[in-house]
Amino acid sequence: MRRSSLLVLLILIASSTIAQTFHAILIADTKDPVLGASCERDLAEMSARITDIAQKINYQYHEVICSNEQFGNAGLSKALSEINCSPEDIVFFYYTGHGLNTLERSSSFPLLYLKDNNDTELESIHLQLKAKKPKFCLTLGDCCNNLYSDTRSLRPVPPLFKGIGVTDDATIIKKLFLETEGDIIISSAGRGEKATAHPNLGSFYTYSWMEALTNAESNNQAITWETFLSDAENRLQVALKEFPDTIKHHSHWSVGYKKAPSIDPSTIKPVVSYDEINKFLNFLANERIPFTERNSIRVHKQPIYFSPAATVDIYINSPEKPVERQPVDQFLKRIISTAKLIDQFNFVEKMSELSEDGKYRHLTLQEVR
Amino acid sequence: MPKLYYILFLLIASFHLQAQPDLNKERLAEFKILTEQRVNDLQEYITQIGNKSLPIEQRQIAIDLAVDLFEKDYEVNGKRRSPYIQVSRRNGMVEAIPVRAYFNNLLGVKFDKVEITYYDAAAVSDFEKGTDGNYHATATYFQQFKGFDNSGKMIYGSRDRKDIRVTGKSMAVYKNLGKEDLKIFFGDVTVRETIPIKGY
Repeated sequence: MRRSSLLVLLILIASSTIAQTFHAILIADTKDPVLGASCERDLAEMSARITDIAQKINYQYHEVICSNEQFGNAGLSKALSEINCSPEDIVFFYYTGHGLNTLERSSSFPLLYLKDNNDTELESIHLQLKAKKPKFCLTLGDCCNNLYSDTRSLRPVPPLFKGIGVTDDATIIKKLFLETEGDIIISSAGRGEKATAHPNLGSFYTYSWMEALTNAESNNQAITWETFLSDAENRLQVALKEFPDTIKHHSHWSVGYKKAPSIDPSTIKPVVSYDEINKFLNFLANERIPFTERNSIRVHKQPIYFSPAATVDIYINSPEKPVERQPVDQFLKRIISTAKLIDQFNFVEKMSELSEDGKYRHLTLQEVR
Repeated sequence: MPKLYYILFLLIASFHLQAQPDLNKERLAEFKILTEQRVNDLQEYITQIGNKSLPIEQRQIAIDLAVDLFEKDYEVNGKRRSPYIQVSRRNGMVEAIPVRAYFNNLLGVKFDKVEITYYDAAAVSDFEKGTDGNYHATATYFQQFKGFDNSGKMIYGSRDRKDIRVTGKSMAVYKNLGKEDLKIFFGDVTVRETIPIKGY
């Protein structure tokens, strides 16, 4: 009797381990003469990041990499066939390389440009993976989505180093990957747009996506996929701000939730989400927009977002050790006046405070110059 | 009884001095970075205040922000006085002007067009703790001033090396939060050297 109980227990433990797997298919065009080095970098960074996420949520990690000689139709088919899901599993599909779209297609998501095939739809891969019925299916394509077969651009300006470290706190990762049920598909460029990459530092969107994730892990109290993806988009625009409008691209996504990450009902709901605060501050610090326009947005939004006596703590290395505290009015005027000296802001939601009415009475943030 | 008062006074005075935080090198390095940033801000404000092509609202905001960087007043020989900014005149004299008056003068400067630029990176010395318990440093910047008439002809130009006295004071606002920290203030700005631009 005792022996059979033990056996049942062992089977239960074994099945629960098998039931919780984080599958990742990472496809990278590492042999491309233009994008190869950038894709190599994307692949290494994304693999490390997803491994870390799987560890933090206590999932087994199952990775299938498709690069070099495997970067083709056969490699992709083999990778897809290797994914067998249990209902609690998570599937992540990532593609970095060239891509395109065509006038005949109505989809806003791109076709992938494999070495021997350029009519594989990102969306159809997403549907194939979704059909395997994991708890959560996330697909990310970082490639061009333009309407003709042009090559993806390499840009000479490096993305900025933002100085936020990866944290051991898994709260935000658990909210995004454990509490979510459903599927999300993301493209780094809108229909008709070309994506951008840097030869040594990787693709701009992948960089912005990972930066937004790292920042949210360190700085956030609450999160949804929408706020996270909006923040990644904001960061992409900050990284691209030096470029002319004609070569800027914009990420877009489609979310199909069965269950969204929870928000603690006892907390005060902010009048503005963290990604909107980041966007607002980065807008004020964008010297390419005329001063009068930025100042009029400041005058309009300040009383909506902030209490009249709100304060701002600015830190350089550690949010716990700010180097300066300023009244919010002085701070906002300062950033519109010194915009050209400022690269970016990182807002620390979990070290900021709300008033009863949901307006911020205290902000903590990093000002990157 | 007077002796007891005297001891109490000494105790309070020594506590006051000890209350100033002893900051480690890493922390002082962060305040040095902050000071460099605020010097760059000041340079940007000065450029904007002098630029007559910018909206007046922008130039007024720049004045308020520039004034906020400076101490309200400080003690010299037992008396309190406002910080000043030295300027070099066309006749070679150097004049000290109170901070807000300096910026207001720049707003209404008589040249038709003014260009203020910075021809070398600003430098900040390491902070050192003074006998007053505060931390002190000197920031140096290199400013080029050009004044033009309405035909676009340059009628005055000079290059100044200027030093800013910088003070890091312990702030009660951080202490209340259990954080012993400094608040950075600018003091007097002194002209150390003036190099005329040839012909002006």
